Amino acid sequence: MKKLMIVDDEYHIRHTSSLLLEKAGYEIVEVESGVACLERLRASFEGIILLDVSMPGLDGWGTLRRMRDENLLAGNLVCMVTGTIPGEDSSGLEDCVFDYLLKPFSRHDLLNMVATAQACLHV
Amino acid sequence: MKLSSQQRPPKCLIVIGASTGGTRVLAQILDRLPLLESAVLIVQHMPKFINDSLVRTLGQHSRAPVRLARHNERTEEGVVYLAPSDVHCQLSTNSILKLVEGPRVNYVCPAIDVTMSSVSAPFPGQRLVGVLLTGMGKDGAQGLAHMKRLGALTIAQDRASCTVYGMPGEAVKLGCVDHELPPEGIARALTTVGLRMMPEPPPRTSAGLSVV
Repeated sequence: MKKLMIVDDEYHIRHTSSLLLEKAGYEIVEVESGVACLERLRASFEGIILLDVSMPGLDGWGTLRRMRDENLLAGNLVCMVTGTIPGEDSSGLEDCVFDYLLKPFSRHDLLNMVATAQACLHV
Repeated sequence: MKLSSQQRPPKCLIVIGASTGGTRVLAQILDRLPLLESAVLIVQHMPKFINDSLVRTLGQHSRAPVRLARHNERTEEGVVYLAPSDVHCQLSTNSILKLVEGPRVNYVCPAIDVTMSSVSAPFPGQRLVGVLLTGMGKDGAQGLAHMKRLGALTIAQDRASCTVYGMPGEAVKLGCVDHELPPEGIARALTTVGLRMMPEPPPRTSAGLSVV
């Protein structure tokens, strides 16, 4: 099964992305914060993670740093979703990010990025 | 004594560094490349658990076979090598792959800087090409500058087509980039410089005639 977690505090982005990706055959987990993402990973999850950068509290880079430090990256490919290019706060995470999607993005951009990640997840 | 193609260094050595978003760009470039008389070494930052699947994925886009680099393997023309995760990948005498354990450089292992900085002066007639694709941070910029000093053709992915312009942008700042190109332009440049592999000529008879 193709599994994908959408981490975004904005409901409409989670919802529209989820509808599109479900049609493409993905089993979707939606969470609204970095903390919820970490909890889900600790419980059990392997797949693609679409991680929003700008979230209140623990932001995307902070979440990714925690994932790395807690060894929660194994079996997962992280694609950052953001409106800005990476800055200093992403330093040290160079090899933790599989891909990067700038908002606003098209359906084609999203599906293309996710399909590439999915191809790399399965031998 | 004439060395066989498997004993001498490749006529052309192409080193490609990539990070965030690089997989899609590599696929676009490989899609457009003919078989080349070049050994192509790719260093893509990635987690170890996707090493084999990335070899397979890139292989689906490449006319040349794609292999995970092995320690002490002699590079061959017409083959694409992918550096494995968690070890640095160096080149000895521009032809033999060395997988070396070591600390992270620029926060990553393998580091593109380590690979490109291990390239040595070209053998007579040998061509060198360094390519730096999309990626966060600055890995590869110093390595590309090293290759430029050796006379390599140096290419950076252009800002417009980059997912993240960090690594190519750092190389441009160092002034070591000959050309900034989108993926299709990079493929064209590699096809020109990398020496398109011609089919073997038909064997000749004792009378000097080709056997058809």
